[in-house]
Amino acid sequence: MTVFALALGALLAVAAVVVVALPFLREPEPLDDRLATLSPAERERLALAEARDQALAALKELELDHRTGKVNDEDYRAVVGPLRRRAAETLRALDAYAARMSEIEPNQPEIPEPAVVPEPTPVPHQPIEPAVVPEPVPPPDEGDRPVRPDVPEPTPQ
Amino acid sequence: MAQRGSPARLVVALSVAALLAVFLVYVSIAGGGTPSLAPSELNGRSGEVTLAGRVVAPVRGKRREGGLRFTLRDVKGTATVPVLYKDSVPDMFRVGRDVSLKGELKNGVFVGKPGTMITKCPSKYTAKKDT
Amino acid sequence: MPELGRIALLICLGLSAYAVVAGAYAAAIGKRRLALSARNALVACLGATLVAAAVLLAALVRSDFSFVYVGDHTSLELPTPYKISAFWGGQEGSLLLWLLILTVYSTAAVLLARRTGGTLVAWVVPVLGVVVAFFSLVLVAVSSPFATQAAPPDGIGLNPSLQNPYMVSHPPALYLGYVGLAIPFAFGMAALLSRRTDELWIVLTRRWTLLAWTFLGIGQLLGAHWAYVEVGWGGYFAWDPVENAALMPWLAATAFLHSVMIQEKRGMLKVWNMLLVIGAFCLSLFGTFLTRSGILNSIHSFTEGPLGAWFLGFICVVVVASTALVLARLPLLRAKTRLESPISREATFLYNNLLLVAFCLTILWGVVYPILSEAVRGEEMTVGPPYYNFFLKAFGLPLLLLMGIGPLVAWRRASLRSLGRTFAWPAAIALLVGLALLPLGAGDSIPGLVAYSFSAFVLASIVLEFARGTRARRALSGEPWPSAFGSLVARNRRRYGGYVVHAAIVLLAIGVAGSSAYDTIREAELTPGQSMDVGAYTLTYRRLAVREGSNALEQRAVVRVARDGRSLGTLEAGKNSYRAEGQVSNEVGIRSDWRTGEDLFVIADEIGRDGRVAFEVHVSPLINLIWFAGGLFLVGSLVALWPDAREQRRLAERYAGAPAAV
Repeated sequence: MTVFALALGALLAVAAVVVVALPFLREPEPLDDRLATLSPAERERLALAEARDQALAALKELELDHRTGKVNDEDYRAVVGPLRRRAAETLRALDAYAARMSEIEPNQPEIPEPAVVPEPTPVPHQPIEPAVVPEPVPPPDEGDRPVRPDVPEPTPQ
Repeated sequence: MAQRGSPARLVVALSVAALLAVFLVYVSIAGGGTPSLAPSELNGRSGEVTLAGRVVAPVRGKRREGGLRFTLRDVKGTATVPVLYKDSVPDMFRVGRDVSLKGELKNGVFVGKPGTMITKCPSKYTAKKDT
Repeated sequence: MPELGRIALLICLGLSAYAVVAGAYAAAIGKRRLALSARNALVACLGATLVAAAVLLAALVRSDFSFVYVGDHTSLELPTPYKISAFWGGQEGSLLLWLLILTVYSTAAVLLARRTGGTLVAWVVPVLGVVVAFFSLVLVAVSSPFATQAAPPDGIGLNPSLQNPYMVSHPPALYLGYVGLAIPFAFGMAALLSRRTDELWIVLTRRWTLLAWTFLGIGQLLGAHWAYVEVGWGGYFAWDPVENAALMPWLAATAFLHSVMIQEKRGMLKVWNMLLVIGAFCLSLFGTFLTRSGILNSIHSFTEGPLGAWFLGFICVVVVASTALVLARLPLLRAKTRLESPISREATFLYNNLLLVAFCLTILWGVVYPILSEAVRGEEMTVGPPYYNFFLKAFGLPLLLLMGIGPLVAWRRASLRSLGRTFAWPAAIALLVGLALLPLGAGDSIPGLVAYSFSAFVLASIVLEFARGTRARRALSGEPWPSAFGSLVARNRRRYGGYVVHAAIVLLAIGVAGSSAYDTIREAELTPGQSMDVGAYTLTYRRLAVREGSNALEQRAVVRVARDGRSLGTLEAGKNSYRAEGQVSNEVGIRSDWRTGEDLFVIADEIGRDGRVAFEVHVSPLINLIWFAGGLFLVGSLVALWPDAREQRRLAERYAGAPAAV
């Protein structure tokens, strides 16, 4: 019994070593062993994307609150303008970022380009941005396409 | 949005202060608990305390006829004290078990407050309790 | 076979140590293959722990008494389900269960997050590795389930009070909760370590926190029901230190679940959330420590051993290290916006957090006070239920009210006018209910009446929320009512699932208020044929039945129950005397009235030789609402937890720009 147990134990140990060594065994000579980190450009994009999602979510939630009566017409009118402006700002900022990225693409800074990289372009999809604005992350409410059309136009109050 | 030192900060600070005040007021009025003693530490102590010890034979009497009488001994020692308890005991109660109960020392006998005895089951996870 | 168990745990220790060292190095220096290797090591810990667990389980089922643990917690005649539950019946086994659940959660969290996780996951691995390493170390060096002995002919057996379905369900549910809090903690620390300023860590751990919180809640309700039905003193929660040990992390996690929403929507409270997640995890470690160290006068205490010191040391290390990390990364945690108004949903969430944390701290103080007073004054002071009950009312009632107010208030700033309009109906209903209850005797307890009125307020506001939301949805989509309701909930799972959970908490509050503030207790000693009146019931003691059970002598007093002259049948209450263990257990008789939710609870306190029985009878109004609330709680949590494909896609789009790393 003991010998059996010890043999199984040894087997387990060997398996553990193999599992741990697996990445090195699979790629004995990798083109790039750098752990992909967030470049400053990526950080900027993330921050912009989060700001955009927050702004859009706030708008959506305001709409819902207005429709369910939590926010009366007066308060709604007072708040919706600035919120829409903010949302437009964030969308514009993201567009600007995207434009900048496509511009500087040829002389890439330090973005790693290993042959095995799964996601080839770190640049977000430019063509989609303005037309189909993705809904914000926490879906506070329903309604497929609420007030989207006039967002890019901040109407001065 | 004007940032002129928003009132919200003040409100939050006041709320925290209020909660703290509730806590402090209660503690100062109701006091901070009763001491938990072993039989050896009881000597002549007055006032309500929690007594913790091991039950020693003999156990006499019945709850309804004058109360249950037994002796508690120091868990790590030899000092004992007679105990009178006028309530039903938890099911785990038996000679050799560690128990604790609230009460007062009166004329050399520790008179337990009804409903305050709990038993401790050594080295076994148990969920029994009597309040 | 115990050698295999020991070897497996040793391997787990080695793997986790590697995961910590290699993982931290790889994340700091930026080495992809090494980070991957560290992650694999963490995942492999699961394999090693599974082997160890399998060894112990097999020994338990086979009744291999050469294992000290098996001998101490089972016996040959023990039914198999209880042989299995003996796995967590003792200290060593429950630690192994902790480790098993931890490795399962860690593997799942790390693997599920690998695509969107990027740099974050690289740091999650060493942080989780530290926790795994600690538990492996303790299991290897301090408290091993694989100690051996010369096998005795039979084991000591399981305490008969533990031979019930609760023993099979309550501890695992609690552990699934306790351990689950390690995941958001690890991701939070990883976010700080990797210097990320985005909300990815919250987004990735949202469901983990909810899951752990749900298990903690269900685990506690199971414990309460166990205490109520099996232990039989008429109550379900006694503020015992170990009961508090589970309540505290649950309160902290509740606060965290709410304040995280503010961070997501408004970018505020980042430091607060970090501290909360650290606090919740440390409290769950502390809870484990309390149950193991024997340091307090609790009936749940295990033996006093060296384990307590180890746990305390680890908790101190975690607190110091994580707080230092937060302080070091303070600039990263700057808020993007400010609180604009003391009357806004953000503010209500903040007040809710303050109350929850205040309540949690008062419980912590009450639990720790005996230890501190012994250290400082040489005298151990005990803190009893009056202390806790006071703060339950002082902090709990405002919390109850806030549950109703929060959903009705708008974000950013709410004008008093719109507040007045939205509050009008719920406030009116609350007032009406309060007034209606007065003639029914609710005025006997002011806190009880207040609790009922607040509960009515909250329930009304929840119903209104659902109604207004469905109506708004209908206006948009033109769907019929049921379908509009369905799509409303489906598109806003977190919000409406949360509302269902709120409703459950309210029902719980009503049940607690009813059964504690308005209960009736009567005692009488009866001979066969005699009756006693309790509340509206008349109980007649018919006879004493004595039966030989499989392992106990069962005495049952047969009692006929009548109300308003009509017979409601009989119930039995009595005692079991377990021969082998020499113990007596209370077997109470409970009659639940499903229409009113009240329970008639009969205890046969003392059974005299001549057939005289001393009865203690409780009538607890509305107590069954508590158990019903548990079910509703589960439903609400499931709705909130349910994966949302649209949400996942949005998140993937937001974070997938970052290159996939580990």
